[in-house]
Amino acid sequence: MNSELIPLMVVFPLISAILLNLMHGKDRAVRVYGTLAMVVVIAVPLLAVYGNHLFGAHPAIDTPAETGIALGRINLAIEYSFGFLQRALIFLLAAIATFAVLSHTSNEKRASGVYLSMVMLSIAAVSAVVMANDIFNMFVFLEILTISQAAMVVAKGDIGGYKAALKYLIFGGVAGGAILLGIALLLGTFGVLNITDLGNALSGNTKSPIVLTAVGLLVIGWLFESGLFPFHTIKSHIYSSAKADVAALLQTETKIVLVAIAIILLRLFGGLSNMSAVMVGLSVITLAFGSVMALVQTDFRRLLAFAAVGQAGLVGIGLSLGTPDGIAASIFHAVNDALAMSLLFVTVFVIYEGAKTTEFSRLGGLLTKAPRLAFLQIIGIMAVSGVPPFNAYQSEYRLIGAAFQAGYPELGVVIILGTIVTFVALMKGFFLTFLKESTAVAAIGRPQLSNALPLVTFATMVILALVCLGIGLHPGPLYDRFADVAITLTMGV
Amino acid sequence: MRSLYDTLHETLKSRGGTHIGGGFTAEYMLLAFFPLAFVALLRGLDSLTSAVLAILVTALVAFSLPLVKKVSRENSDHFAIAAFYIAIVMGLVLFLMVGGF
Repeated sequence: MNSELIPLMVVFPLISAILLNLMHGKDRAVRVYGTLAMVVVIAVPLLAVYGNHLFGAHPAIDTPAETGIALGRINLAIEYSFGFLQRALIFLLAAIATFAVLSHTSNEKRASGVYLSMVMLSIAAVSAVVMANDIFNMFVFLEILTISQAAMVVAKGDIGGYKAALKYLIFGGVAGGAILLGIALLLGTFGVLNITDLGNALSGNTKSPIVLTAVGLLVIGWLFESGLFPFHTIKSHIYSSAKADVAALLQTETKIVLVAIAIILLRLFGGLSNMSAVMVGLSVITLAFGSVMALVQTDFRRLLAFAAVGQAGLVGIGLSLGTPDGIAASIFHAVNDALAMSLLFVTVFVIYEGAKTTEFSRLGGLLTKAPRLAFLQIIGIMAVSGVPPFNAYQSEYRLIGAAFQAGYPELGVVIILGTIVTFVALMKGFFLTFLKESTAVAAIGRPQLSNALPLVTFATMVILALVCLGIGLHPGPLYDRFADVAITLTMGV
Repeated sequence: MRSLYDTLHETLKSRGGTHIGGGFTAEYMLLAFFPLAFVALLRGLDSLTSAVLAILVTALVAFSLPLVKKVSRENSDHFAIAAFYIAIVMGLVLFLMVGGF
């Protein structure tokens, strides 16, 4: 099957990025096209038929003898695979990106074509990474993603954003170099870039030092793209330096890419115990440092940024287990956390827009001014922290179960601890913002925060809260499909 | 335990810059996280050795409290600190992958 809509999920945002860039300065055109483009971006993954798309329609061929490639048949075309997992992840990305776009077009006096162009570029990049069955194509779009994310942070227009973006690009260069060198080693050894072909070529050949070095380099790239230790500080800096609606999109993209690259690593090197141990260890460290650092922050955006990084560690732990239950629970948690954390980032966005600060020392007593916002934030906090009946409860419960079943009870305890710390940190933020008595906000003359929230923002928060609740009450339709994906994945390992 | 509580409270207060409640919780969580993370990392060893090492790590952490300021400093977004840890981890990952456990 060669569904024509599959490449559109990458090509359409790329073309839109170019068009929006050209439209920059024409305010009305940018607003109209940006909004319409998001309708298409959301619709395409829902309408596309499952299958594979071969660019140029090049079929697999018998390997010419003079190439020296050991495989009998190889794929020449760049291949995109589209199944339920890809549909779910790309739809999630499109939904959160739509909020970022609508937030920009409805709240800014002049819509920026360049900014929306970067949002489109990041959508195209993440969609490509999720679908690519070609390891070099994945690398190219990871680089595009890094650049577009840095540009979205720069769009905030303050010196903190510039600094964070510059650091992100420097470390992104290091990680990108590591991924490219890893790919080069694999290409030099096996002569193929198609991930399925590479998996076939690697079976039984994973012990050579060249392959193990390539694995190490690809794992380093995964750490950067996923914001895991030691890249967790720069990732949290990026989240907290961006506008909160952009931060919601950034953390969603990070969780999707975390899952996508980990699945590629598991498909290629799933049997390697060294890789699994390294991934588990660094994920645990990320969860510990992310959660603990969230506790000691004095700014709500920094607190959320570290909590988001800690939750990425949680997703990494499940994927590193490599069992069907662990993988399914991790993918499920990535989706749940992206939704709930986006809700929290939006609530903080509202606080920042109203009070012009998210420093706890300057906040307090906002419950009487904005009770709706407080209610929605507490829902977000419960959802992120795994409190029933919200969505993350279902995935964290399954993650803990998967850790015990895999024979790692200590990881189950670590997950429980991480969840508790996250809950305490977020409740601390809620208390200092809404419950603590303070006149600081009124004193600085910026009591703009009120119960009358902008329509787009309010609707987004309500929808996110309802989705978190809905998945929490009925996890089966989503989780069962992820479980099928995980079983298929581990059968191939 | 009361004296540990008092010591922690006084030290956190004297150093400032952190909410005492958050700092306290972070201290106790670090105390729990370190040995558990250590056990998870050293699963390749036999259970007796990993248990002894976990107890040693717990003792080391307990005598090093309060840790939260040190952990905050090492987890800052300062370029040089981040670059240092990235270099260390890159070397460590490659060493563990190629050299094995």
